[in-house]
Amino acid sequence: MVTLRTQNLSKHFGGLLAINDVDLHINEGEILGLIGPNGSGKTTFLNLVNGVLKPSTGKVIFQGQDITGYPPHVLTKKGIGRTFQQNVLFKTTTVWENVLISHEINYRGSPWESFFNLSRSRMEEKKAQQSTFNILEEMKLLAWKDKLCNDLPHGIQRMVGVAVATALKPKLILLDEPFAGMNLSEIGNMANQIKRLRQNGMTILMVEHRMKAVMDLCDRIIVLNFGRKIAEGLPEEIRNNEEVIKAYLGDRMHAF
Amino acid sequence: MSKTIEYYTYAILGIFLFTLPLYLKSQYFITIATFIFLYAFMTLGLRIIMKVGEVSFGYAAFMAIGAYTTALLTTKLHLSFWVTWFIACAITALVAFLLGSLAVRTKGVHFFLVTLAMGETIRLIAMNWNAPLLGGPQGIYGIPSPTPITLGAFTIKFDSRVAMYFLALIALIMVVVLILRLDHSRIGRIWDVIGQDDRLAAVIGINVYWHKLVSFVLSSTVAGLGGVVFAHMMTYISPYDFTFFYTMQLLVYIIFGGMITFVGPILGVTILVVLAEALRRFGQYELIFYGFVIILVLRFIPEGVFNWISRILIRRRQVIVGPSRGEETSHGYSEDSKP
Repeated sequence: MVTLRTQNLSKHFGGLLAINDVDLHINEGEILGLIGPNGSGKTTFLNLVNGVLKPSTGKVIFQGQDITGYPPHVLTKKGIGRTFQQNVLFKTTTVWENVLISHEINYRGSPWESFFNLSRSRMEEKKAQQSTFNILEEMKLLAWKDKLCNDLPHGIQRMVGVAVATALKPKLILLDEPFAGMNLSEIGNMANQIKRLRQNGMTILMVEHRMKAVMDLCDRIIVLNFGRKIAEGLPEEIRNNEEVIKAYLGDRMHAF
Repeated sequence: MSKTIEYYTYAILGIFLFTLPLYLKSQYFITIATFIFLYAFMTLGLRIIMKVGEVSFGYAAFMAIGAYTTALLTTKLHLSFWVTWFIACAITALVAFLLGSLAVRTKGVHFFLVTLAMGETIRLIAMNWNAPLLGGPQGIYGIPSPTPITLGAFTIKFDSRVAMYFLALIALIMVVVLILRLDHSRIGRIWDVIGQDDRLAAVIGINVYWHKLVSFVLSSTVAGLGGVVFAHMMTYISPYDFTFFYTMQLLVYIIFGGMITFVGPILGVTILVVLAEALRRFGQYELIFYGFVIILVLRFIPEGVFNWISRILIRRRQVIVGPSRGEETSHGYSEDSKP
């Protein structure tokens, strides 16, 4: 079953074509890697899927429903979670609060029920706290839960970013360079977490630069260059694709 | 601080404030206390919109809407105060909803400029439009004090300063209850995180536009309530009472007191109003001292007076008793393993 499909998706900023006619699909339960040289439009693509940017032309279809141009908070409710390339967190709140507030969309009833302190809202609150506890325990972040996000090391902040996205209980999760700036042991840790997310039934679209991690983790890889899709296939196929090598390293013919 | 101690503190403070006019006979001090209450809940209202990370510089204009509405309804239509305060708040909320739905599309400096422009426009309308009705620059005179309430044999009159004291105190308590519920519920939590990063807030499924609009309306409605109390207290209002500098003054109170808890702004108002009164005998040098104190606070305790005091108290308690265990975690799960 196809979770997400884009049709002729394009985005231009003035005269610059950031995304040019990209067609792709993500199957349910798959880890899809999106790679490409710097400035090839990978993050822009995530922003289009996630609703942060509106596409110029084309369609985004999520679970059979056309979601083109919906705002981010609606898409999150429909089941698309994401992380950011930078460490975007609520920096002056604790890790615990960060994950707890992300349960907001899973509450039944409006937040104003909590304003009037209704019993249903108290029950929902308890459920959210239990779920926060479970998520932090599974991601081995419990030891950090009372720290402010500002005070955390970079690797832990990346993990908290993923924890926040998981707390949304999304069907599709968009990871924007999850391994950025991490050392090898942190990468191993994060890779395990990503595998665990897949086991929990999430579909994953991952933008990444670290080729080894991408080749190990992803079921399928799509390569973008200057906003166009230039290749699609299994990791081995991509590794040996002439055009991909050209995009990354330049043309072999003109090298001399 | 545990819950019971907190409730006892509120109760004792409440009893003290309600019985204050019994042993404070001076009209002068009663008036100052009334102004402190008025400013206190006005600052708390401004803090509502500051929770979502914006500062509304049109705040004083919404106060003007509340004040003019109740003034017109009581002087021209001779309605009772007990009806007009509610109508005034409702009209302020309506105007805030209409203007806010435009204003909250912007953020940061742009929000500041948009609300400033809206506020000044409202004030200039009051100054220049339909002088027979709104009174132009002279404003409106002779706003009556609230109508007496008759309860069987008793008649409660509201034409004295002490009555206005109680009115302002009740308004303050209403706003404090509102703020307490906001701060301790999911709404407050949502607004706090919108203030920290509205991009991430949208991505975790929070409707940022809607929540900002609600907080703008709520904040402006409190301003409207402030306008009502102000109008009936002064019995005279003019457009000059609701300038941009009024909002600035409230902002200074908040920054001085610290805005993390609701106690901060109240403390800031109390200290600065009392200080301004104490410095009054120095005449023209008053403003120099006043400015000097504010500069000192901003330089050495930028988090505000209240947070500074509570930090010192907590540190002292830890020195005597030792670090408290598990008390800092407000939720049920406390783990001893720390990194």
